[in-house]
Amino acid sequence: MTLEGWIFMLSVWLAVGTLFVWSYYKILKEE
Amino acid sequence: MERERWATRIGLVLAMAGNAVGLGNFLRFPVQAAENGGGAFMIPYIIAFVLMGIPLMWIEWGLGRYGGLRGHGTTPAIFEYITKSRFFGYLGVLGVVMPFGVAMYYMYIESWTLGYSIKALLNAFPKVDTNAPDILKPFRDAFLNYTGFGSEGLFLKPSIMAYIVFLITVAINFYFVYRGIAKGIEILARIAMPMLFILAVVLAIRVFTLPKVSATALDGLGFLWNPDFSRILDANTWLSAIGQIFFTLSIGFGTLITYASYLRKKDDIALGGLAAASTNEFVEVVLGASIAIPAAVVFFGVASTVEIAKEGAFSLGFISIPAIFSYIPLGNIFGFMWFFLLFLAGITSSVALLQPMIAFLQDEFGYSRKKAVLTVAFVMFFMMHIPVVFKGALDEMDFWIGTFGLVLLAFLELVVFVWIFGIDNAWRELNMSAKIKIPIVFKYIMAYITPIFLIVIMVSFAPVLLKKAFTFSSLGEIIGRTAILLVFVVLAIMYSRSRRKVA
Repeated sequence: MTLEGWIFMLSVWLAVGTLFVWSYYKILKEE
Repeated sequence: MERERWATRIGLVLAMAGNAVGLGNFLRFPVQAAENGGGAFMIPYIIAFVLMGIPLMWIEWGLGRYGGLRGHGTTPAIFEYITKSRFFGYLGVLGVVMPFGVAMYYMYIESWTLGYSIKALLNAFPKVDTNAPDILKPFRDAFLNYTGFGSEGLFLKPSIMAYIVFLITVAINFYFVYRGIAKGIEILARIAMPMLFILAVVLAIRVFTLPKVSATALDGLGFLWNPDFSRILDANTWLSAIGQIFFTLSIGFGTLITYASYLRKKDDIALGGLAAASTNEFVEVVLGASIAIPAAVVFFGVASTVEIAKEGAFSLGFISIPAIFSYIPLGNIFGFMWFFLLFLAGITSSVALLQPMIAFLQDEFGYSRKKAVLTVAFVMFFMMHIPVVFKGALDEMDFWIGTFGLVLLAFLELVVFVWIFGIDNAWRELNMSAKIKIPIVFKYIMAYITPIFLIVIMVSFAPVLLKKAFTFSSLGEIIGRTAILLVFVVLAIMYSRSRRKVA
């Protein structure tokens, strides 16, 4: 796996993971 | 009659996420990414997600809640209510035809996953012969025999097991929709979605601990994520990425609208929509990308995986993966986990596909839930045999509904909600009871950017569409296309006789 591959994968995973955790945190906090 | 409602917020989000997370997250996405430039595919994919996926998802939630609060859960009546035009009501019939049409073949594919998970438990897959010139041949033959795709002539002859499991799958689906929104669909999502996550994580861990055969699992990730920048200017890469966003978020199916119609006035749609979309994306780009393709690369190497990916998602999921699992220790258990994971992903989507037609009968014709479900089950039972029996019908239906139809319905939704209802009204509707503030930039994206995207896609489809419209190569294609047209015409006539006043 190339460096660009790692950068692409980790940035996408980080962005999606952050959105996922943040949105559930907000929902569960409301409930 | 009092409309049903979701029981909990988290149940609603999981049901919406379950609607979106389907077979495509684990099979279609990795194949599309691998075929379209790997990491470079993710650039148009993310752009399409932000500029088209998120706005259209919010539009569907907005249309659904707006309609539901006025007693309508499907596009014919919602379009007519907003536009005050019967013509738009007829156009809205598409929003009932589409999910019904997709359900006609989606449940059949879903039944293969249940059948294969049973086969895995019974250790009934062929054994791998590493000395054979074509290792996958027995697995390909097994798939062709199971589905009947290998049959000669006009008709498919699926195996008896395939047909029985198909009937069981249909019965399970109708059981959950029969129980209703809160007691059926929501409970299914609350059980199936966490289970799906656990299965996917366990499988991903197993894939990354596989010993090297032809390559390593990291090579598999590299195959999927190393960017091929030469592909980024290719129009097909963009069209594939946009198509994947439509498919994965279940946009243009009419299902999000119907699910959202069971929201209350005080329920938010901004955060709920984002949570459901982010769940789908997490399952797709993190988990979906970490199982099938990396496993295929470990066993077959990068070059052979390219060929497997070219053969499509079914080849990857139902031919290559069983071969891998029959080779490794405890492979039948992992094989069961893989196919049961696909089944859970499938059933949470297929119950959503059935719901618009049920809601249509309940809302516009005053049917009770029981009567509506039984009516849909009766009609569906006959119609769904078309893709099971006629060769070519499944692909034909998928082309018209699953490819072009999605974009057309999404465009109509945008026209009605953003242009006719008005962007200011739409924006107010989306922000009503919102738990988060939607960035104002999305108002302009919805008004200007998303429609441009949709128009460009429809124009780019035009040549293929025109060519396809005047060609038939098999009886199955004619029957598949006629079936969709017939459903549209019957529903339009029914709608014209709907006794309920819409506006």
